[in-house]
Amino acid sequence: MDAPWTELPPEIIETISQKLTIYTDYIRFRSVCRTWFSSVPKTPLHLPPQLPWLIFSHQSFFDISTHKTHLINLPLPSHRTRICGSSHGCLIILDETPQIRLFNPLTRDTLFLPPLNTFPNVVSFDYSNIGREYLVRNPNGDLGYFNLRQMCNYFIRKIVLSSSPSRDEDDEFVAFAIVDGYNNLAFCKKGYDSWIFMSDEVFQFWEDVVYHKGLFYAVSKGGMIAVCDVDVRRVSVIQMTAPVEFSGDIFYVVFSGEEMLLVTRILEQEFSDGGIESDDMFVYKTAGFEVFKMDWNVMAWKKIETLGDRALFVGGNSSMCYSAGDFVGCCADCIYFTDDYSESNHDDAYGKHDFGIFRLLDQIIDPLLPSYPRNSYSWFGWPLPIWVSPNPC
Amino acid sequence: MAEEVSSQMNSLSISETNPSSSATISLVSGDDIVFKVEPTIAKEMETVQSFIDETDGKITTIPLPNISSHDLPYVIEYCEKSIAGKITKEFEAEFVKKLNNEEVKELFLAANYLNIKKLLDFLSQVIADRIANKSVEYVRRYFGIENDFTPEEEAKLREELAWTFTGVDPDDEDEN
Repeated sequence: MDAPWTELPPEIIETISQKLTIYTDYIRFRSVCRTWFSSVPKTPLHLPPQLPWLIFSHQSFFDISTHKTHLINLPLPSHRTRICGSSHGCLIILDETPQIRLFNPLTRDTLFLPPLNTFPNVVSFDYSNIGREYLVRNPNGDLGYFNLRQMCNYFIRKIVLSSSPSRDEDDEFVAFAIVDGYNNLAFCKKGYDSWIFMSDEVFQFWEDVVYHKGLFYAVSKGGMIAVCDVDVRRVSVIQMTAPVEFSGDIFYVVFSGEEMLLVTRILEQEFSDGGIESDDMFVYKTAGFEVFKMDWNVMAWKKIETLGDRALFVGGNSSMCYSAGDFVGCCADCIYFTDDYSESNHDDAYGKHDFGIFRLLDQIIDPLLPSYPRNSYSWFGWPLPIWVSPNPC
Repeated sequence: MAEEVSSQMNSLSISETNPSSSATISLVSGDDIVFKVEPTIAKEMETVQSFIDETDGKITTIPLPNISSHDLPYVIEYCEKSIAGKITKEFEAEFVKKLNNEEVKELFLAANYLNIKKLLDFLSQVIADRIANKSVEYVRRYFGIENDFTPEEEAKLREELAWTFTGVDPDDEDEN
């Protein structure tokens, strides 16, 4: 039987391409010959979330599965940008304008969320009022002026998305923001022209938020959980029955199936002797992590010693959990971390990079990049390196 | 040669276990070996069933020139399990263990020709697993496909999608 494989109908070839779950396998499959290149759709709609890349700069990213740094040319605003999230393959980018841009580095698609001046606590915005562009109501009710750069750096802690913004025209994604500038949580749906606060009350500092099955779950430093239903604009705050003394400095929350994990990142201060700039300064460096899982029966966080087959990716991105066995080059029981918004290192990304692989059971930090020292200096003016799960849709 | 003998024995044993030959369907492989199967099994094969339906069941001997007597027993085995509702992960794992790359491809084409959706779907997964994290050159050899891109087109593809072409498994000896 020698029916040539190039003469099979496209839908038969597609039955195989639909079974490939890694985007790079899919691309290589399409690249076999001209016939397959045209019969296999360019955009695979069936792929599960892909192992993330670490985007360093406008020009390069690191791929864990190939263990290589690749060049990429991202048409991003050239200066003073801050990436305040990375969700479903989209970077969420702030610059010194009110714009909030969603940018997919793979497809180069750009979308805009309602701008910063549409948050309910922003009373007015005026470009001509230089240095005092935004008038913002503080949590205690007072009004204060903020400039473009302050709003870019401090107003929003993180934005996460419920789903891929471009996958399906009919599918409405929700963007959810931790608003540090008002100790509140806000959301907007696709097509909205302004942000809406989850609650009229002011709560407290929320550390991270994750989307899971129709609801957003935010966590505070005390381990408190806010379960947010944007459809009815309702927040249920869950207090822990057995409070845990957390020693972490930055908190992350992530779901692994139905299991909710709280990850705390412990930083230590390190004296740095200048680097590209001559000023001596203190920088923060990751010393370790602790992981807790939520016991819903007793409403308490229980510390766990190992992640088993799982690997977590944390930083400025929507925290992600993968089954390591599904991916080439991904190690089990590891937390892949990169720089995150913290007091010292978010300001112009001036400072040292802080990325690596933390092995939970062994309590060891391995370097992420073979030829790249863990704490080398960042490129002046670039946003911090961030994980992004490549999404071709 | 040995293969042919074993296939004939296989066909004999099938006809022996189905003494009521009037009710059975005869599938004739490309190399003229007759396999007698229950009509219910033919139902799993849409191509065969539509042939039977078109002739109002008068013709029960169906030539399958595209399928060899080596591959047909595998197809029949899978369909029998399917009818019995006994397609389990364990069965599929055992089933695929017996097959080399060439046999997987031939069975895929047979499943396509006979229009057996479940088998086609299962073999798609098997093929996808076998070409995962392999180079484009490996995948071309796997399917016996010539590279028909011009060197310029190929270079452009590789440049634009550089990350997809590196870090693959070493191309081990093809087993077929």
